[in-house]
Amino acid sequence: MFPGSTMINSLFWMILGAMQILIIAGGYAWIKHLGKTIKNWQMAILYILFALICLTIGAGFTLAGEYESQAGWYFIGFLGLPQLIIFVFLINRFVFSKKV
Amino acid sequence: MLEKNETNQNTAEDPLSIVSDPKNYVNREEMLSVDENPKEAQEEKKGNFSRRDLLRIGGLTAAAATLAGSAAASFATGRSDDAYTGYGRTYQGGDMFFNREPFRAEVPAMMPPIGKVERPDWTDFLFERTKDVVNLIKEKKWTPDMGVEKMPGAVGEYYRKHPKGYEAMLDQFERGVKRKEYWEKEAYKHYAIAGAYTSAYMHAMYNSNGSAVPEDPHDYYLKTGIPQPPEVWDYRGISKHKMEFKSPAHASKLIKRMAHQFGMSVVGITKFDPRFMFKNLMRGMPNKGHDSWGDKVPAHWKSIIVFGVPMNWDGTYSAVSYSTSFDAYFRSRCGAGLMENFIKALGYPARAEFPGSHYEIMMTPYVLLSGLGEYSRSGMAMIPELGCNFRPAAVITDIEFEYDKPINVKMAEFCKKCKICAETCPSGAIPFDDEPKTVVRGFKRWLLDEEKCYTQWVSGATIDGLGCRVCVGVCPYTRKNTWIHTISRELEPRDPSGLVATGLLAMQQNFFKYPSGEEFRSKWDGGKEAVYHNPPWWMRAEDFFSNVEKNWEYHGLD
Repeated sequence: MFPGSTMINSLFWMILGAMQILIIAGGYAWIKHLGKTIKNWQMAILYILFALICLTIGAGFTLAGEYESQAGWYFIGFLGLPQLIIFVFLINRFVFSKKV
Repeated sequence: MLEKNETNQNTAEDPLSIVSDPKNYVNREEMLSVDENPKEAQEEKKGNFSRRDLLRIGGLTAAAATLAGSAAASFATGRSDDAYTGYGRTYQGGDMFFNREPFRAEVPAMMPPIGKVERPDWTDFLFERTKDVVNLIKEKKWTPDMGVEKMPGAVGEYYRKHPKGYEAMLDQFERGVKRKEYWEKEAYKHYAIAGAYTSAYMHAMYNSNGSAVPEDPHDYYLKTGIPQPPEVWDYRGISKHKMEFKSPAHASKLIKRMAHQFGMSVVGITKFDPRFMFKNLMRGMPNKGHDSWGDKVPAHWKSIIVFGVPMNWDGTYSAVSYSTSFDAYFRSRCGAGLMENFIKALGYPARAEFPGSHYEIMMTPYVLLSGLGEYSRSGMAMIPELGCNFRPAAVITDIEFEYDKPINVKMAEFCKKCKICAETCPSGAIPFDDEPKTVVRGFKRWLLDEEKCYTQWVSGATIDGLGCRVCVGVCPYTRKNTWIHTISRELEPRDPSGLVATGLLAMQQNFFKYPSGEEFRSKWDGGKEAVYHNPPWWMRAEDFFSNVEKNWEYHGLD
């Protein structure tokens, strides 16, 4: 992320790692706020899918970094969009269409 | 009385009365919003920022930051120095990051002979042929108007057997003149930096005495008139203190480490196999041994250390005009020169085989035999870490090593389906056949039409007319070292179903944009001087020189 750095790079990844705890805790807080419930395995699936979306976006931007921006956008479009649709579908299935 | 009192008491203490009392009814939303922490719930009701708010807002922010961070970090990965294999962590062996051990094979892919294996003759070596013809013209022994019938020597015999090759050679001479005129007239401005970059390396490779590093026996012979057979040249300056290796494994370990130390990205060692040594070619002998060497193999040529480096990545993707082979040539020949002297200083004979064309051997088969890579449709060796972007050199010696076995990582299999190099070849030199069909000296091959290929070399808008490199740049394996390519590189050879390869090829063919073969050609040759990637910023002459006015557009990828 920060070429040539010996410290900032490590700090960046540590902070990004810590943020993942916040994302999961935040997910539970939102579900509670909306008056819904979710099982842990369902949350795990949603998080894995989120991580996959991040990877897909990462892959597209890696290609852009390699001066292959067109391939990068195609990659995000073809692989990322279906993932996003599945993500929304699963949220609906796990959270909103469930009777409390 | 007592009875009444008991009744009243019972009514007041009946726990069910709490449930049935309508005052205590709550609606569903209120019930669900009850918090375990009443203090926090109270703060929330007052409009203060609670811990739950922090989690909700923080979680959303963290998710957005993770998405943005993934994008930014990945973009930086694509641009980072580490992605440029061969230009960063070479000296610790970090360029050779692919674990070949699970993929070792007895014979390289597509190399089991299907007939009698014949050694190549020196006349099969295009550059040696061309040099010989130029010498004939310089020495006034032959001129093109005399025709092929009167061309003397072995090269004359060759061209009489290959009349199309003769026509192509004459065409190449003419095109070389046109290219030079075009360069002098206008291209020198457009490609000023690329030309200077090429020249810098070219002149570092050759000086007025011939080859700079390593020394070439034939330069020495031409200068002194004293023949330099390998039994003399390979032993020159050898240390009298011969160091004995503890074992062949120790020898391999040290020599490979030294190859990296001398700047080589990848290295492999194999037994010297005379099947891939030219006949009638020995540098240092009169007329390079064309008339006298025959098929002799020096007794001390027992092992061959093969190594090499990639060409400058961004330039290679901007082939034809912004690319050069000379940067990698320079580096691999420096590696060869250093390795040759290192081995001799340990008391062993050594002989460097190095680019441009200082060889007694065909390099590609040895690259395959030493387990560095696999055969490809375009005829070049493909390396897992570098794809086709590889310029090898070698040192032959009599050290006993623990040899590397060839590898099978299904790269050649991928070539059967992928025809991107053939589709984008400006000269149409690369065949489209699904399977290798042509038998060449005992092996089935996709036969590269070298005359067509060289015709494109001499026609390119480059300072030297030496090289095209479009097939190198567009090859799906010629990719920098980033995690996405690592996943492909590791998954594909382990997938028995071939689905990974099919998916990767589909992406390669549909997501990536390639100019057509014709578009790569020079403007004077009917093309557009198109590029696959736009040139790197440091090769854009218009951004640095006041006498360069940009009158062209870039149409490649950015």
